Amino acid sequence: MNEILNFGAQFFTPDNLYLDWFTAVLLFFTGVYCMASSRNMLRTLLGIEISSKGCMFALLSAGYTIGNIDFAQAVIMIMIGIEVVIVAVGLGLIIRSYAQKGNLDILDLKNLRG
Amino acid sequence: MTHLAILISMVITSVLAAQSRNFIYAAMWLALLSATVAVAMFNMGAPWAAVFELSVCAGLITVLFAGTASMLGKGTKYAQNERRFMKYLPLGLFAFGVCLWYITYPYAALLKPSQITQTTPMMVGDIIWQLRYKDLIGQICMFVAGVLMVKAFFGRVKDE
Repeated sequence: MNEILNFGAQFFTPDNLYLDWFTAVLLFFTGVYCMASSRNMLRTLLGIEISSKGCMFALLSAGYTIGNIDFAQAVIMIMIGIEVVIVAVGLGLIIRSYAQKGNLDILDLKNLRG
Repeated sequence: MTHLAILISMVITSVLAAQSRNFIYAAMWLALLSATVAVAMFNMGAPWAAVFELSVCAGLITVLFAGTASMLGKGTKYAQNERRFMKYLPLGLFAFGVCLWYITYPYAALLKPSQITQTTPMMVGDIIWQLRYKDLIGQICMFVAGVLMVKAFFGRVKDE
Protein backbone atom coordinates (compact mmCIF):
# COMPACT_ATOMS: atom_id res chain seq x y z
CA MET A 1 0.00 0.00 0.00
CA ASN A 2 2.80 2.37 0.87
CA GLU A 3 4.44 1.63 -2.45
CA ILE A 4 1.29 2.63 -4.28
CA LEU A 5 1.02 5.83 -2.25
CA ASN A 6 4.67 6.63 -2.88
CA PHE A 7 4.20 6.01 -6.60
CA GLY A 8 1.17 8.30 -6.60
CA ALA A 9 2.98 11.01 -4.68
CA GLN A 10 5.86 10.91 -7.15
CA PHE A 11 3.79 10.48 -10.29
CA PHE A 12 1.10 13.11 -9.80
CA THR A 13 3.31 16.11 -9.33
CA PRO A 14 4.08 19.04 -11.63
CA ASP A 15 7.55 17.52 -12.11
CA ASN A 16 6.08 14.69 -14.14
CA LEU A 17 6.46 15.93 -17.69
CA TYR A 18 4.77 12.86 -19.17
CA LEU A 19 1.48 13.37 -17.33
CA ASP A 20 1.37 17.04 -18.27
CA TRP A 21 2.01 16.31 -21.92
CA PHE A 22 -0.54 13.52 -21.86
CA THR A 23 -3.15 16.00 -20.62
CA ALA A 24 -2.04 18.58 -23.19
CA VAL A 25 -2.49 16.03 -25.99
CA LEU A 26 -5.95 15.13 -24.65
CA LEU A 27 -6.93 18.82 -24.69
CA PHE A 28 -5.58 19.16 -28.22
CA PHE A 29 -7.54 16.09 -29.31
CA THR A 30 -10.74 17.51 -27.79
CA GLY A 31 -10.26 20.76 -29.70
CA VAL A 32 -9.50 19.03 -32.99
CA TYR A 33 -12.51 16.70 -32.55
CA CYS A 34 -14.68 19.76 -31.89
CA MET A 35 -13.40 21.40 -35.08
CA ALA A 36 -13.69 18.31 -37.23
CA SER A 37 -17.09 17.07 -36.15
CA SER A 38 -19.08 20.25 -36.60
CA ARG A 39 -19.85 22.60 -39.47
CA ASN A 40 -20.92 25.36 -37.10
CA MET A 41 -18.36 28.17 -37.24
CA LEU A 42 -18.81 29.09 -33.57
CA ARG A 43 -18.04 25.53 -32.53
CA THR A 44 -15.00 25.52 -34.82
CA LEU A 45 -13.69 28.64 -33.09
CA LEU A 46 -14.37 26.97 -29.73
CA GLY A 47 -12.28 24.01 -30.88
CA ILE A 48 -9.41 26.32 -31.83
CA GLU A 49 -9.57 27.83 -28.33
CA ILE A 50 -9.51 24.43 -26.62
CA SER A 51 -6.57 23.28 -28.80
CA SER A 52 -4.64 26.43 -28.00
CA LYS A 53 -5.15 25.76 -24.28
CA GLY A 54 -3.50 22.37 -24.79
CA CYS A 55 -0.56 23.95 -26.62
CA MET A 56 -0.25 26.58 -23.93
CA PHE A 57 -0.18 23.97 -21.19
CA ALA A 58 2.48 21.95 -23.05
CA LEU A 59 4.64 25.10 -23.31
CA LEU A 60 4.14 25.84 -19.63
CA SER A 61 5.01 22.31 -18.61
CA ALA A 62 8.14 22.27 -20.76
CA GLY A 63 9.27 25.58 -19.27
CA TYR A 64 8.62 24.33 -15.75
CA THR A 65 10.46 21.09 -16.28
CA ILE A 66 13.61 22.58 -17.72
CA GLY A 67 13.61 25.28 -15.08
CA ASN A 68 13.10 28.17 -17.50
CA ILE A 69 9.58 29.18 -16.57
CA ASP A 70 10.15 32.88 -17.28
CA PHE A 71 10.84 32.17 -20.94
CA ALA A 72 7.69 30.01 -21.12
CA GLN A 73 5.71 32.82 -19.51
CA ALA A 74 6.94 35.31 -22.10
CA VAL A 75 5.98 33.04 -25.00
CA ILE A 76 2.58 32.28 -23.44
CA MET A 77 1.81 35.98 -23.00
CA ILE A 78 2.53 36.62 -26.67
CA MET A 79 0.44 33.58 -27.58
CA ILE A 80 -2.51 34.92 -25.57
CA GLY A 81 -2.30 38.23 -27.44
CA ILE A 82 -2.41 36.46 -30.79
CA GLU A 83 -5.27 34.27 -29.58
CA VAL A 84 -7.38 37.34 -28.84
CA VAL A 85 -6.81 38.64 -32.38
CA ILE A 86 -7.83 35.28 -33.85
CA VAL A 87 -11.02 35.16 -31.76
CA ALA A 88 -11.94 38.77 -32.56
CA VAL A 89 -11.44 38.31 -36.31
CA GLY A 90 -13.18 34.92 -36.26
CA LEU A 91 -16.22 36.24 -34.43
CA GLY A 92 -16.36 39.24 -36.77
CA LEU A 93 -16.32 36.88 -39.73
CA ILE A 94 -19.05 34.77 -38.14
CA ILE A 95 -21.34 37.74 -37.48
CA ARG A 96 -20.79 39.08 -40.99
CA SER A 97 -21.38 35.70 -42.57
CA TYR A 98 -24.56 35.20 -40.52
CA ALA A 99 -25.84 38.61 -41.57
CA GLN A 100 -25.37 37.70 -45.23
CA LYS A 101 -26.18 33.99 -45.37
CA GLY A 102 -28.49 33.58 -42.40
CA ASN A 103 -26.69 30.55 -41.04
CA LEU A 104 -23.37 29.51 -39.54
CA ASP A 105 -22.43 26.76 -41.97
CA ILE A 106 -18.68 26.89 -42.57
CA LEU A 107 -19.12 25.47 -46.07
CA ASP A 108 -20.96 28.66 -47.05
CA LEU A 109 -17.66 30.51 -46.71
CA LYS A 110 -16.65 28.95 -50.02
CA ASN A 111 -18.76 31.59 -51.69
CA LEU A 112 -17.03 34.54 -50.06
CA ARG A 113 -15.91 37.19 -52.47
CA GLY A 114 -13.82 40.22 -51.73
CA MET B 1 -2.52 15.33 -5.81
CA THR B 2 -3.56 18.94 -6.35
CA HIS B 3 -1.88 18.83 -9.71
CA LEU B 4 -3.83 15.70 -10.66
CA ALA B 5 -7.10 17.42 -9.71
CA ILE B 6 -6.15 20.39 -11.91
CA LEU B 7 -5.35 18.14 -14.86
CA ILE B 8 -8.60 16.17 -14.53
CA SER B 9 -10.69 19.33 -14.26
CA MET B 10 -8.98 20.70 -17.38
CA VAL B 11 -10.00 17.67 -19.42
CA ILE B 12 -13.55 17.61 -18.01
CA THR B 13 -14.18 21.31 -18.62
CA SER B 14 -12.84 21.06 -22.17
CA VAL B 15 -15.20 18.17 -22.94
CA LEU B 16 -18.15 20.02 -21.41
CA ALA B 17 -17.28 23.16 -23.40
CA ALA B 18 -17.15 21.16 -26.61
CA GLN B 19 -20.38 19.32 -25.88
CA SER B 20 -22.58 22.14 -24.62
CA ARG B 21 -25.68 22.59 -26.71
CA ASN B 22 -26.08 26.24 -25.73
CA PHE B 23 -23.17 28.43 -26.77
CA ILE B 24 -23.46 30.71 -23.76
CA TYR B 25 -22.92 27.70 -21.52
CA ALA B 26 -20.06 26.64 -23.80
CA ALA B 27 -18.48 30.07 -23.28
CA MET B 28 -18.86 29.63 -19.51
CA TRP B 29 -17.18 26.21 -19.62
CA LEU B 30 -14.42 27.70 -21.76
CA ALA B 31 -13.95 30.40 -19.12
CA LEU B 32 -13.73 27.71 -16.45
CA LEU B 33 -11.14 25.88 -18.57
CA SER B 34 -9.12 29.08 -18.83
CA ALA B 35 -9.42 29.60 -15.07
CA THR B 36 -8.20 26.04 -14.47
CA VAL B 37 -5.22 26.60 -16.78
CA ALA B 38 -4.54 29.82 -14.86
CA VAL B 39 -4.56 27.87 -11.58
CA ALA B 40 -2.09 25.40 -13.11
CA MET B 41 0.10 28.34 -14.13
CA PHE B 42 0.02 29.74 -10.59
CA ASN B 43 0.79 26.27 -9.26
CA MET B 44 3.81 25.92 -11.54
CA GLY B 45 5.22 29.34 -10.72
CA ALA B 46 4.10 31.41 -13.70
CA PRO B 47 2.04 34.22 -12.11
CA TRP B 48 2.29 36.73 -14.97
CA ALA B 49 1.03 34.28 -17.54
CA ALA B 50 -1.71 33.23 -15.11
CA VAL B 51 -2.90 36.80 -14.69
CA PHE B 52 -2.95 37.26 -18.47
CA GLU B 53 -4.81 33.99 -18.92
CA LEU B 54 -7.34 34.83 -16.26
CA SER B 55 -8.03 38.37 -17.39
CA VAL B 56 -7.87 37.95 -21.16
CA CYS B 57 -8.94 34.37 -21.87
CA ALA B 58 -11.34 33.83 -18.98
CA GLY B 59 -12.61 37.40 -19.18
CA LEU B 60 -12.42 39.07 -22.56
CA ILE B 61 -12.77 36.02 -24.80
CA THR B 62 -15.72 34.74 -22.75
CA VAL B 63 -17.46 38.08 -23.10
CA LEU B 64 -16.83 38.05 -26.86
CA PHE B 65 -18.16 34.49 -27.22
CA ALA B 66 -21.20 35.05 -25.00
CA GLY B 67 -21.95 38.37 -26.70
CA THR B 68 -21.79 36.82 -30.16
CA ALA B 69 -23.91 33.84 -29.09
CA SER B 70 -26.59 36.06 -27.60
CA MET B 71 -26.44 38.41 -30.61
CA LEU B 72 -27.01 35.56 -33.06
CA GLY B 73 -29.72 34.04 -30.84
CA LYS B 74 -31.36 31.03 -32.40
CA GLY B 75 -28.96 31.24 -35.32
CA THR B 76 -26.32 29.48 -33.25
CA LYS B 77 -28.47 26.36 -33.16
CA TYR B 78 -27.92 25.93 -36.87
CA ALA B 79 -27.17 22.64 -38.56
CA GLN B 80 -29.17 19.50 -38.19
CA ASN B 81 -26.16 17.26 -38.21
CA GLU B 82 -24.04 19.55 -36.11
CA ARG B 83 -24.04 17.45 -32.96
CA ARG B 84 -24.27 14.08 -34.64
CA PHE B 85 -20.69 13.11 -33.83
CA MET B 86 -20.33 15.26 -30.73
CA LYS B 87 -21.99 12.73 -28.45
CA TYR B 88 -19.15 10.31 -29.19
CA LEU B 89 -16.52 12.75 -27.90
CA PRO B 90 -16.11 11.24 -24.37
CA LEU B 91 -15.87 7.75 -25.85
CA GLY B 92 -13.42 8.87 -28.52
CA LEU B 93 -11.36 10.78 -25.98
CA PHE B 94 -11.20 7.75 -23.69
CA ALA B 95 -10.17 5.45 -26.55
CA PHE B 96 -7.60 7.97 -27.75
CA GLY B 97 -6.26 8.34 -24.20
CA VAL B 98 -5.93 4.58 -23.72
CA CYS B 99 -4.15 4.18 -27.08
CA LEU B 100 -1.89 7.13 -26.34
CA TRP B 101 -1.02 5.76 -22.90
CA TYR B 102 -0.39 2.28 -24.30
CA ILE B 103 1.87 3.57 -27.07
CA THR B 104 3.76 6.32 -25.27
CA TYR B 105 4.09 5.16 -21.67
CA PRO B 106 7.10 2.87 -22.36
CA TYR B 107 8.93 5.99 -23.54
CA ALA B 108 7.89 8.12 -20.55
CA ALA B 109 11.24 7.62 -18.87
CA LEU B 110 12.94 9.31 -21.82
CA LEU B 111 11.14 12.56 -21.02
CA LYS B 112 13.60 13.84 -18.49
CA PRO B 113 14.28 17.50 -17.95
CA SER B 114 17.39 18.73 -19.62
CA GLN B 115 19.49 21.22 -17.77
CA ILE B 116 19.67 24.70 -19.21
CA THR B 117 22.65 26.69 -18.14
CA GLN B 118 21.37 30.19 -17.64
CA THR B 119 24.27 32.57 -17.39
CA THR B 120 22.18 35.46 -16.16
CA PRO B 121 18.60 34.91 -15.01
CA MET B 122 16.27 37.26 -16.90
CA MET B 123 12.94 38.65 -15.84
CA VAL B 124 9.83 38.18 -17.96
CA GLY B 125 9.85 41.79 -19.13
CA ASP B 126 13.49 41.58 -20.15
CA ILE B 127 12.83 38.40 -22.12
CA ILE B 128 9.90 39.99 -23.96
CA TRP B 129 11.53 43.34 -24.70
CA GLN B 130 15.09 42.15 -25.38
CA LEU B 131 15.20 38.49 -26.27
CA ARG B 132 11.85 38.07 -28.04
CA TYR B 133 11.32 41.56 -29.44
CA LYS B 134 10.72 40.14 -32.92
CA ASP B 135 7.75 38.20 -31.50
CA LEU B 136 6.49 41.43 -30.05
CA ILE B 137 6.74 43.17 -33.42
CA GLY B 138 4.88 40.26 -35.01
CA GLN B 139 2.21 40.52 -32.34
CA ILE B 140 1.75 44.23 -33.01
CA CYS B 141 1.46 43.48 -36.75
CA MET B 142 -1.21 40.90 -35.95
CA PHE B 143 -3.11 43.42 -33.84
CA VAL B 144 -3.04 45.93 -36.70
CA ALA B 145 -4.10 43.27 -39.19
CA GLY B 146 -6.92 42.19 -36.87
CA VAL B 147 -8.19 45.74 -36.48
CA LEU B 148 -8.11 46.27 -40.26
CA MET B 149 -9.95 42.99 -40.86
CA VAL B 150 -12.68 43.82 -38.34
CA LYS B 151 -12.96 47.26 -39.90
CA ALA B 152 -13.29 45.64 -43.31
CA PHE B 153 -16.04 43.33 -42.03
CA PHE B 154 -18.09 46.08 -40.45
CA GLY B 155 -17.07 49.08 -42.52
CA ARG B 156 -19.81 51.23 -43.99
CA VAL B 157 -20.21 50.75 -47.72
CA LYS B 158 -20.68 54.01 -49.61
CA ASP B 159 -23.56 54.09 -52.03
CA GLU B 160 -22.48 54.83 -55.50
